[in-house]
Amino acid sequence: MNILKPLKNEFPPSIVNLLLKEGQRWESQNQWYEALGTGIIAIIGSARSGKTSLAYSMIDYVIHHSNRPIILDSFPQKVIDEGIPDHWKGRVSNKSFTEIATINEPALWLVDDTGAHFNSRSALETNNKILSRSAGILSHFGGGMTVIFTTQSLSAIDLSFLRFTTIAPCVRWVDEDVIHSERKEWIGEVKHGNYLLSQVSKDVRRRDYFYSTKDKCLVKSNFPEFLKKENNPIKADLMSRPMRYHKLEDKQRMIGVKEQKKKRVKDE
Amino acid sequence: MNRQRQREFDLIAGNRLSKLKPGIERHVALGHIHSITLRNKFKRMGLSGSHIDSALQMVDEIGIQKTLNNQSIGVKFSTMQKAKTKPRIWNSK
Repeated sequence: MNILKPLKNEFPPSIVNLLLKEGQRWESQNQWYEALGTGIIAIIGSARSGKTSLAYSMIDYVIHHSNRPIILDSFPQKVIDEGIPDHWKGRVSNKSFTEIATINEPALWLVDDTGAHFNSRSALETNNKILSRSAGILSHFGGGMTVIFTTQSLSAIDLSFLRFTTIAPCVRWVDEDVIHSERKEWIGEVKHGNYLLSQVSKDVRRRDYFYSTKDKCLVKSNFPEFLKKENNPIKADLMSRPMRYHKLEDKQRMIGVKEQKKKRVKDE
Repeated sequence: MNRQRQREFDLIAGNRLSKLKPGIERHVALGHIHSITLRNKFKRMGLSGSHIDSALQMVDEIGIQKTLNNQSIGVKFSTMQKAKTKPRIWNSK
């Protein structure tokens, strides 16, 4: 498998700004920029629209162009041990977002399928409380952290993710019947992004491009080699749907299923 | 019936009319009645040629402008000819 190094300006400025470490410089279209290195990259798209693969492309970019550590939030250990590509090894770990205060490095976090971990309907759960408190001070932790999160709808996630810090939203294909339920603050951008995607993309689920709302442009989306089933179907599946490889009790905890209390039976 | 509801019905009706085979021509849909009568007159007289086309075009344009006079400035602007814009793609030449 050939590992191609992504170009330094593969992504538009608003995204590179958050992917590179604070103070790192890069040139794009004859202009020099200095990275902010902290903020939130939100990837919005329906199921199987390529949100996670886009997040992996961004992580691959960080692996090649910076020395930031990568943390895959709540990923199964099996995926870390057997799924990640060889050139990621040593740079990637799996910690829970609740441990953010213990990390003293400018890490890049991936919170995949945010609706499951930071659901807007569970505003008072520990995860959400930690998030709402930490989102505003991401730039203080470990010298500036960046969080990439993927979600099927911004309506499903806790508002704390969108209230603080610098955000760079990326819009992928969203089912046209689902767009109506999007948050009113974002519905315009999501609809516009999907309209632009429909203008250029030939793919059914428009996976060859995504729309960067901050840069007001479409961006070509390259499918990472390590996700191609032709290369290694087992690794590809481990990376493509990591939550499948959690233990049953972890899966139940994620979706909030609690074991029912056993009924006490009186001795006769 | 409020104005917005009336517009919604107008849009539905207009959309249905546009699908009638073979559809309604522009000078009939938006022009003045003279656009139709003048065409008929030229046809009866057996007149054709570039000078006739120019006369018809002028009558059509006057009729369309008369129709647009009752519309908002936004509608008038949206009818102006403009080049089709392509979405901006990052790093494309």
